[in-house]
Amino acid sequence: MAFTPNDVIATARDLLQDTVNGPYRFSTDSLIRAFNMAIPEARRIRPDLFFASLDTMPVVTTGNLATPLALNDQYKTAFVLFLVGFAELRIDQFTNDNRAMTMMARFSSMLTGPV
Amino acid sequence: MASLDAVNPDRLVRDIASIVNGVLPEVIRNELYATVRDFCRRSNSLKDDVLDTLPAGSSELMIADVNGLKAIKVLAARTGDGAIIYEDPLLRQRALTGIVTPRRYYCPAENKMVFEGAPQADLPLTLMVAFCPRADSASVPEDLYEQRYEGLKAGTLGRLYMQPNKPYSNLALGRLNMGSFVAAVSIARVEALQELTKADPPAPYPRWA
Repeated sequence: MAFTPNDVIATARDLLQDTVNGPYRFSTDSLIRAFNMAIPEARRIRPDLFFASLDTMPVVTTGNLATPLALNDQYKTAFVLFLVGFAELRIDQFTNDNRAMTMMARFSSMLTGPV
Repeated sequence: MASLDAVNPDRLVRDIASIVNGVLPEVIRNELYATVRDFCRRSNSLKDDVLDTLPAGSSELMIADVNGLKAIKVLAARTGDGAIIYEDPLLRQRALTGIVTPRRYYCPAENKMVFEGAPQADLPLTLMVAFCPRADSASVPEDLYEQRYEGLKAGTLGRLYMQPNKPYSNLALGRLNMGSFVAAVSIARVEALQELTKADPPAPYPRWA
């Protein structure tokens, strides 16, 4: 069970309502950068998620978007929420701040909080 | 003879994965292997007879690994003629009372025996040895898996619940399961010892009955 960066980015775009490439409001590059922030954060608070590759951390690039990450599907949603929250942090509108913070907090609680 | 072959613990991993929220199978396996080692070391219940020979003129015997399992304790030893030699004072006291033998040994290391004196001819030995998977081993011995399934399950669950900052961290459940694990270890330890003791003498029939 593993998911690809493409899966996460596509789902994040659904939540961001940014599905039309004309061009995208949030570029793929910026979402990749957000993804590469999420991975070390997840590694920090849940090292067991990276049990198979504790010495190396996966890095997402435009070249490996379709390559499955060595991460369990159970935590795909957490990464989606991080990407959405991280993207929305950059929106300069007060109404989005709470939403962004909620997404980021949900990322942490999904990884560590009781179910 | 016991079976020290490794088995695939998939069933146990699935059992635990269906109980613990959000745990990864590789993490379950890792804790299971630690539980297996802990169980073996505490209980001495993973044991088998090993046939070996103490060469003439030598007083030291190294016990080789069997299926990647390390010898951790010699529980009993017999020579080819059936005479019992021993080290463990508890066993000597409880089980081997009355048997007199000049041959004794001690174990300076877990898998090494040193005998009092060296035999003049090769001395064939039958050793009952307790084994344990090595620290870097990733295997579950068949005997333990078949006979101590619930104990291993409780120990693995306890270790998982006691991990910090996980969705499944739960100190109360951790303690509960570790208690069950310790109980299973205690039973296994007693059973392992009982197999080395004589049966109780029959109770005398009351004369007046």
